[in-house]
Amino acid sequence: MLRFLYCRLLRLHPRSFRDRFADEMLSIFDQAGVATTELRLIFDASLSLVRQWTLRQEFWNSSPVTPAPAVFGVPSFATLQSFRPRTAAVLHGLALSILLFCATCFAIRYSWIHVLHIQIPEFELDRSLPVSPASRTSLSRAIPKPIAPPNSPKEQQSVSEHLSVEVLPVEAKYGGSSPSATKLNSQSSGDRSPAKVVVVLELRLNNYAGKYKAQSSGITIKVAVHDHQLVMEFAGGPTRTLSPYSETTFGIEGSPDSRIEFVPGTDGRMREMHLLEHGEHVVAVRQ
Amino acid sequence: MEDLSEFLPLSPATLHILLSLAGDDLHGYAIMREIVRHSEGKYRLGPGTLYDNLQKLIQRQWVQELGKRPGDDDPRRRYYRLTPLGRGILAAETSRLANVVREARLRLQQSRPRRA
Repeated sequence: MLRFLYCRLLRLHPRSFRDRFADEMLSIFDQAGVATTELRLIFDASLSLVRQWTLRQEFWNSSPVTPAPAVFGVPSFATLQSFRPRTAAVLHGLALSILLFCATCFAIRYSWIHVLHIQIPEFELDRSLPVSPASRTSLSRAIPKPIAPPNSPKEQQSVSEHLSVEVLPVEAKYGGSSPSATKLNSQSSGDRSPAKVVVVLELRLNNYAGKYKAQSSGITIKVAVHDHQLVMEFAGGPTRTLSPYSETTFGIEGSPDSRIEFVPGTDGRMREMHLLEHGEHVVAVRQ
Repeated sequence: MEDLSEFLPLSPATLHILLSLAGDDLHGYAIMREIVRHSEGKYRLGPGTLYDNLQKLIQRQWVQELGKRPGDDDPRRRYYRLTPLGRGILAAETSRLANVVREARLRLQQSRPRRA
């Protein structure tokens, strides 16, 4: 076992050193005979291994390196030029690449400054959607495909710049009109096969609309739906558009530091809002 | 005469290897035993350190590699010989050490014992 370990350590030495001295070092190991001496020799070989790779670079190419044998006619490493990088250089490159990759992943995961904001809102299909159970299954397993752009500018407006609404192709039958919260755009031809439609899921904006009264100042904040977007009117000021970050968090356009958080009630409608603007926190309850 | 002082002082390992090869051509294991013998067991060299130094000494042409000897017990052994350059460097180092020893003895004789 110790001899095997010693052989492995010798095998890890630079090729020039190994070709020149490994046999003799193994000969000395074979003459040791005592376990304690063998352990000392293994420690010595470990030190030698570190020393040869870190401090003796000038000897690495002292003997010509023969190319690695081809496996099934395919060389293990090939370049367009006759230049062949040293094994040590390739190993260094590999180690640096792994280190850089890990550092990048670590920085992305634990960075204090988050450049990427990836927030995926959760949606529920409207129960009144006339889609068969088989279609529901296909919806849940459907893979997003590239689709045609929305037909009208209004549909384009329904997708906020901050919120990517997932669009899934599903199968539905003709004549299935959807409620106002869901739109179906037929893309089928005139045959009788089930038509492929595009379901654009929208937030149920009506759940947010209403009047909210600030608890501290008594001011009324009015939230309404206008052109498929939420707008807010506050203390007689101008109407400001709300952009969703998530299902309950909205930003105020033109005021990047402001944010509104809605608190939903048991019926799905919002019962409270928290307005964070200019460092002030206003809590308003829906009337 | 080439100026050998630029190579001095030698490291202990180099000095002991050159010293062990000064008498006869030896293989690696014999060099190790010879070092233990002439240092009276106070200096031991592992194979890794020995062959690392031999690698440098061969490259500097202070030691010459003779190869294997047919009649040896272990056919894996290679023998090494001190070159004239290596012998000259060993002589220069020995002379330097002799001067150090002479100077040290002189200083020790001149110094007075300190009061307790």
